[in-house]
Amino acid sequence: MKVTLESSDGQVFTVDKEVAELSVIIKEMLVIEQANQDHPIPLLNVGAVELAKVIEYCEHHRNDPTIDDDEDYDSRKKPIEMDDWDKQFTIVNKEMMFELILAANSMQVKPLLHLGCRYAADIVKRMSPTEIRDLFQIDDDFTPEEQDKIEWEKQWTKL
Amino acid sequence: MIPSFFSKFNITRVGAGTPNPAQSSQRTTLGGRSADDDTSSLSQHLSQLDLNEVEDSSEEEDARAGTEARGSFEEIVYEDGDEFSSWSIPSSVLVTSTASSPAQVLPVPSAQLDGHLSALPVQQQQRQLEKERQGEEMEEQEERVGEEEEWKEQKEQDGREEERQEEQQEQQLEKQQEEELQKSPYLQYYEWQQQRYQMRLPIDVWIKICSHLYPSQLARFSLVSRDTYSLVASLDTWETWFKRMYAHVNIKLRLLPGLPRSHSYMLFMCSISFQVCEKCLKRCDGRRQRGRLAMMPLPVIVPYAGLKGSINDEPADLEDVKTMKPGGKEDHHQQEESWTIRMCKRCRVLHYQSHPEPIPHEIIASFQTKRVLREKYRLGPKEIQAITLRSRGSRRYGRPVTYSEFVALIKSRQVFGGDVGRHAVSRSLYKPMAVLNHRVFMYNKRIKILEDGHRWLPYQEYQARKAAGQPTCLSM
Repeated sequence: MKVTLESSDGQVFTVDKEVAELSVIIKEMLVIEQANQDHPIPLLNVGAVELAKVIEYCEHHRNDPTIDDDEDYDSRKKPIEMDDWDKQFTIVNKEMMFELILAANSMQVKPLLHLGCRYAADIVKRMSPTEIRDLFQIDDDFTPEEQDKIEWEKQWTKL
Repeated sequence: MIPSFFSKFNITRVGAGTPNPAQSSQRTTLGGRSADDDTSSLSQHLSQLDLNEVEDSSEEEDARAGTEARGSFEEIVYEDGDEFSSWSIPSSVLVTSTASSPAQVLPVPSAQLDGHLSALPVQQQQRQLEKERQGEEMEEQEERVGEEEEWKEQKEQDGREEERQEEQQEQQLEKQQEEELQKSPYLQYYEWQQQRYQMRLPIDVWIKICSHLYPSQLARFSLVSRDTYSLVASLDTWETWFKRMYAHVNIKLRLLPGLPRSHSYMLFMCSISFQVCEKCLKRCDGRRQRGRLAMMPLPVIVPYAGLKGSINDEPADLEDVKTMKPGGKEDHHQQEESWTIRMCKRCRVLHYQSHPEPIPHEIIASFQTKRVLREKYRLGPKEIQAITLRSRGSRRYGRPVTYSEFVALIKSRQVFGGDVGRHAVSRSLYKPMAVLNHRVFMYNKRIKILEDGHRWLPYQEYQARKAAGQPTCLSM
C-alpha cells in the first residue's frame, strides 16, 4: 500500500505506508483520513529537498524498533547507537542539517530528530559562547555587569 | 518545561509594553491604589490624564513592581522601551493609520472607429479619408513630439506605481499591526517571545539538544545570551542530578525565594562544581585519601567519537587555514573535535583504559632508582617493589637496583588516573576547597538575606560598598 506526500513546494512523493508511518503525525493522519486516500497528505512546513532526505532516512530505517520517548532517558550515559550509514547520512552542510531537524520536528520522526539533536549538541559542545553566537545568529544581550556576575557564578567554564 | 519561560519578569514586561490605552488606564488605577504616598483624589488624578504621562507612569510602576517581586540581582531588569518595538506600536502610527490610497487611474481603451466609418455616406467618407491623409502627415510630426511626452508619462506612471506599491505595503503593515492588536495577550506574548528568541530552532528541540550536554557545557552554553540562560536555568536535569548525588543522604536543598525551582538547583550545583564528577555525577570528598587533588574531579580531554566527517566535509574558511598547524588538516580537526569535562579518579581510570595515553619514547628503555621513582611518580614502596622489570644491582661496585620507568609510569597512571591526576598529586586541596566552601556559604547567606526581605547585591557592588564603608544590607 502506498501513500502520497506533498511538500510545501507542491512536489509529490509516493512512499510505502510502513515508511511513512515512521513519522507520528502522518500515522495519525492516515488513521483519521482512511476514506479519502486519493489526495496527497500536505506537509506545509517541509520543503521538497528536506522531504526527499527524510524519506531516504525513513526507507533505510523502516524495520527499526520504535523509540520510546522516556523522560528519564539520559542520552549522556547511553548515547544513541549509530550505523555507518547514519554517519554517512550526516555528512551534509550545517544549514541543511538544521533544516532537517526542523522537518523532523514538524513531522515527528523521532529517530531522525534524535540524530539531528546529537549532531547539534556535538557542535555546541565544542564551541565557545562567541562561536555559538556567530553560528546561530544570536545577539549578546547581556550587560557587562550581568556577564561578570554569571561567569563568577559558573565556575564550570573555567577548567 | 515551557511554562518556566513565563517567569515573573517576562510577564511584567509584557504588561509594560502593551500599547492599548484602555489597558494602560486600567493599570494606572491599580497602581494608584497600591501606591502608599499618593493620597490625591480622583479629580487630581484625572486632570493629569494625558496619554503619554499615563503610559510613562504605568511603565515606571510596572518596573518597580517587577523589581519588588524579584528581589534579587539574578533577574534582569528591562527598562528600555526599545525592546518592545518588535511587536508593539507607538501611538503616532495609530493616528495616521487612516490614510486612504488614491483611486487607481486606469488607461481608457481607445474606441475603434472602423465600425462607425462604414455607416456614414460616401461623400462624408471621402472627406474623412482626406482629413485622415492630412491628419496622418500631421500625426507623423506629432508622433515624434508625442513619443517624448509618452516617455515622460510612462516615467510619471512608474513613479505612481512605486508610490502605490509603497502605500500597499504600508497598508499591509498596518493591517498586520491591527491583527496583532486584536489577538489575545497570550498569543501576542508567544509571538513576541518567538521573535525575541532568535535561535533558529524551536525551544523543544533546544531542550532535547541540552539533554546531550554535560553540566559544564550547559553552563558554558548559558553564557551565550539571556535566552539561553533562562533555558538552561529552567532545565529539570539540575534537580535530578542533585537528587542522584545526595541519594544516600536524603538531603533537601533550601530553595532561593522568588526564583524558579530549577534555577536554585542550578546555582547550587555551580557552587559545588569543583567536587562534582560530570561522568558519574557523584560528589567527591578528597579527604583521608592519598594524593588529595588527584582524587578530585579533574579536566579530561574527551576525544571526538561520534559523527566523524560531519565537519570535515565543509570547506575550510580562511581563518581555519591560518590557524592550521604544520601537522596538517587531521591534527587541526582532532584538536577541534574534542571537549573537556571534569572526571573523578575512578572515571578517569576507566576512560584511559579505552583511550590510552601515548608513552614518551625516552622512557621505554630507561631505568631509575627507587628514590627517583618515588619523587617522580609518587609511588609507594610496595608498588615500586611490585615492578618486576628491574636491573640487578651489585654491592661490590656500589650499583643500586634500578626499576623500569616505563612500568612505573603505567602504574602511576593507573593509581592516579592519567597524567592529569599524576601531576595533581603534589598540589594541595586547601585553596579550591576554601573557594567551594565560600560559595556554599554565600548561597546560604543569600537565602537568609532574601528571606529577611533585604536586597541581594551583585558581587562587584557588594565589594565596592564594603570597601567604601557603606551599608551592604539594603531593604527592598
